[in-house]
Amino acid sequence: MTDAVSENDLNAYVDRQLDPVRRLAIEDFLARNPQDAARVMADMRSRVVLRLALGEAPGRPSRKMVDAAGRLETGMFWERMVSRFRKVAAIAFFIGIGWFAHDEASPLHISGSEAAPIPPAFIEDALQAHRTEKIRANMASQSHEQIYDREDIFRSTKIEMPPLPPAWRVTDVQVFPSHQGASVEASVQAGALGRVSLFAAHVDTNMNVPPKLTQSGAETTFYWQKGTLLFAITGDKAGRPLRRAAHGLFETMR
Amino acid sequence: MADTEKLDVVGMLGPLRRYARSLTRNDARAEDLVHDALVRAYERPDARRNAGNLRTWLFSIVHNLFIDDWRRTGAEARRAEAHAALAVDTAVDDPESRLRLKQILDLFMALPDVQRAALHLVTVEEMSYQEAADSLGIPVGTLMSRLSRARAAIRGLEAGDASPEIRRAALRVIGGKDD
Repeated sequence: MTDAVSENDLNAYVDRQLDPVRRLAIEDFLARNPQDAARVMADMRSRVVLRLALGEAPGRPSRKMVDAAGRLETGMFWERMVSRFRKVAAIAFFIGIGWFAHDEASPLHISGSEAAPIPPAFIEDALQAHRTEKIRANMASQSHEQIYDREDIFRSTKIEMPPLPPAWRVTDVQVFPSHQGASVEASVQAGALGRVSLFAAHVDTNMNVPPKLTQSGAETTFYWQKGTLLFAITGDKAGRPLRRAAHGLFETMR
Repeated sequence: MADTEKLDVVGMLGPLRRYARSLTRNDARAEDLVHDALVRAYERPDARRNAGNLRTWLFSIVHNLFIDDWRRTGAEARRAEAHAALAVDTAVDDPESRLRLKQILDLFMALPDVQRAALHLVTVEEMSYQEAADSLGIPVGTLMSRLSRARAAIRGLEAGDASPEIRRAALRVIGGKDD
């Protein structure tokens, strides 16, 4: 062995933070240096003692602490989901509470997602979205070069996504488990419309509702229902082109 | 923060509480420290977004709170305060081993705060050196240095010290300053 053995090496040996080759080298060194071997043994023993003595958490955490931890955890989930659902948070809100119940409260207006109270069902959905790996793993289209494979999405989610105009390019497809089955969000480069999100989810009611408008900050969303599926398309550029696109998608699904 | 990372704050309570106990050397104060840390974490969404790793981040909040606030304001108990109710007795039957265990634990509890923190993170939490250094907000070199001092202190007079060969190497590798 030519490399000098350092204090750090001996620590890393005790803490098992050496790669196997270096580990062997240290053992070779220790075999020839009993004084260092004894010292390493002593460190290992104290390591075990400390783990024994300090490894158990003291008793049960207080109610107060569990509450604080739960609040933090929920807050962090929510922040993460906001960034993930930013484009569709307003729509998800409708799904959480059943949007037809609120149809009379037209014109539908949802303030920014941060300001909106979070319905419990949506929180649960958001938590669920965290556990998507299984579903996503089963979908061949969930690679990074996302392909908008409608059959594939249907097989996984029972959601029939609309065919898109040929100029549109899907950059990402995400599947989230939610209260009433999976939901799907597709990120699309939609030509002149720029980047839009297409969101689809199951709902309880069965009817056809043509696209309606809702505005959320700078973002414009059109949402419609086809059978038991709710769709939403959201873009940053307000106005007519998005409306036309929404109606186009709605029509193709008849 | 990576999307795939598990957001299991509640599951982190055990590790946070035992770390806080090693810092405060007192169960009741440890509970308060962790609670305060969770509240602080909740109140700082900006810091949260920039945090890389949930575990490292939470541990660093507990640590900073302890070092910056608790210790400075004198809220931390005097060093002499007994560290009661540690789970030493349950682990070992034979009285001699128990005594030995108690000695090592006493030595650990008598270490300077920063050394105790470093040794706890690496030993009990089994953090990598990089993670432990991140949790403490120090370079890895400083962590290694604290670790060495802590271990040397616990080793005490027991197993002799490093051979001259190690000393030379150590001087070359670590060499730099420590606090």
